[in-house]
This record gives sequence, structure tokens and C-alpha cells, in this order.
Amino acid sequence: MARTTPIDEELVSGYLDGALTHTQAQRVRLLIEDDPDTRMLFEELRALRDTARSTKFHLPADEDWPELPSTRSSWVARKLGWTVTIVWLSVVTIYALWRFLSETGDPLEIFLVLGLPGGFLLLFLSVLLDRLKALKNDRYRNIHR
Amino acid sequence: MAVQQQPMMEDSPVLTEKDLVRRARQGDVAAQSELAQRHRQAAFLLALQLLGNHDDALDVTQDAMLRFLTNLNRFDANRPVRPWLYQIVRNRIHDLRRRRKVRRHDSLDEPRGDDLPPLELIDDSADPEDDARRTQLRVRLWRALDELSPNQREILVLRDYQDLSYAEIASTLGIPLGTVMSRLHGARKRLRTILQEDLRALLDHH
Repeated sequence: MARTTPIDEELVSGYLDGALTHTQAQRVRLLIEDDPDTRMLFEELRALRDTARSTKFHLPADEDWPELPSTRSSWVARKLGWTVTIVWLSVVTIYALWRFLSETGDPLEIFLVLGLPGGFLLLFLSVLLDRLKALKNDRYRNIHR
Repeated sequence: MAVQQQPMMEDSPVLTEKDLVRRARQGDVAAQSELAQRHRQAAFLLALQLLGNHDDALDVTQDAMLRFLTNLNRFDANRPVRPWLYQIVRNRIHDLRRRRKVRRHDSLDEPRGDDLPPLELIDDSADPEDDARRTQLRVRLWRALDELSPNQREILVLRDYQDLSYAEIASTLGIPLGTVMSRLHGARKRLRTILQEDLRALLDHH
């Protein structure tokens, strides 16, 4: 009578990692001894794992690390600085546009002044819309966060 | 894990991690710096292994360290820092991938210049031929990671490169314990298929 019975193949990974119950481990051990295919699978998975574990990586030297904001206050100040700058730019731009359009009736003058920034704005919007559409099909979206 | 050891703060040579976190939360700059120095290399290593690119890994780690330090008030000082930091690193990587729509085939190009794998080439046996074969397998394994799905790469990195237990992986990824084994095995089998010839050559040599 055969000592072994078929097992779920993934149990070989569990055996390799020492993650099985005693009974499961016993079954896998017998199968590895008796079945050449299972033995080959186990040996190759073990070689893969050992190769990964023995890999050493180049790590950044101390001087490669950019300086962090040293306090929460400086972090908040940095964020606030950007926010105020962006809000100011938006308000000034909108106000200037409103003044320009309300005081100028000449279509040519409007085109000459607003044509280039308007074109850039449309280009930016097209990229933005593409990005938003691509997000819906993002293959990374199901990654657990 | 190869983590560079950093000197402790001069005035408190035996501070525990919990003490450091408490001090850092109170705005102690030296404690914040010490925390960053203790954990940034480990965070970098995880980012590098998940992303496969040195510069991206450095950016992600820097961003993660910043968020880690500025959100310490939300962190339970009684828990270990590393899993929480890893979670932040994973989130930053997720955001980076969404922003850039990383093209997986980029890192499969032939190595050139700074495209060389960020691995240290080590000789760990007395047999030069065996060393060469192992080194080749390390490089090929590193490149083959790019052919895994993000989920497969992540679980393989956490287990085989980071040496986390199944329970730690389940907790980190927020998946059932039973899923860990099946997903991990799927990743390993994919790599086994990709690297079949190298594995056979290595095993036949022994």
C-alpha cells in the first residue's frame, strides 16, 4: 500500500516555510521522499527561497538621504506655504482675468492675450481627463492599502 | 535584514523604541532623527524590493519617513514601529504606481548603466563556478520579479526577502492566513517556470 496520498501542491510551500500542522508536514515529507515530481518541486522552491534570502542589496549612504523637516512645525509651515502660494496665484489669476474681460471688448485682443494660456489649459485638461479615465482601469487599484 | 546601525542619542544610550516614539511625539528633534535613522534603511529595502528601482525607492522612503514622523500622534507607542512604517511604504508605492502607471517591462530591458540591479555580488562558497551560478540566479530572480503581478511580487518579497511569518504577512496585507500560502505558492511557481533552466543547472551541479 502506498505511504502517500495526493496533496494540495501549495502545501509544499507551507512545508518549506514551516507553516503546516504536524500531520500536514508528515504527509508532505512522505510525498517528497516517495514522489520525484514533488521532490523536484520542493528542491526548486527551496533553491528559489534560499537565493532570495542570500541576496544583498546596495543601501544608500547617510549622505544620500535628503534632510527631513526637523519638526512638525516646519512640516506644517511648508505645507501652509505651498497652500497659501497656490491660493494666492489662483485668486490673482481669476481676478486679473475677470478685470481684463470686463474692460476689453476687442475679440482680437482677448485672443492675443488668452490664446496661449488657454491652449495650454486645454492641453492640461486633456491629459487630466486621460489620467482620470486610466485610473478606472488601474491594475494596481485592488492592492490592499 | 541588512539595516545600517546608527549611534544612539548621546544623552540616552538605552532608549527603547517606545521611549523614542513618545519623545518624538513631544517634538524632540533628536528622538525623531534617531527613529528615522533606525528604520529608514529597512523601509528603503522594502521599497526597493517592491519597486525594483533605486531612485523611486529612495523617494518613496523619504516620503514615507516624513509621513511616519508627522503622524506619530496617531500611532500606538506600545506597538512595534516597523509594521506601521511598512504599511506607509506600501501606501506610498501604491500611490506612486497609480500616478506613474509604471510600465512593468521597463525593468526587463537589458541592463545598461544605472539599470544594473542594485545587488551586492557576493562569493559565499569556495567554488567559483558555483558562486557564478548563484550570482546569476540572484540577478535573474531579481529581474523575474518584474514578471509577477503586484500582489504576487509583494507577498514573495515579504516572505522570501523580508522573512516575515505567514501571520505577519496576513496582518500586513490584510488577507486571511489561508490566502497567504496559496498566493505565495502561485508566485513561487511562476518564478519556478521563468527560471526553470537556471534552477535545474544549479541543482544538477550539486
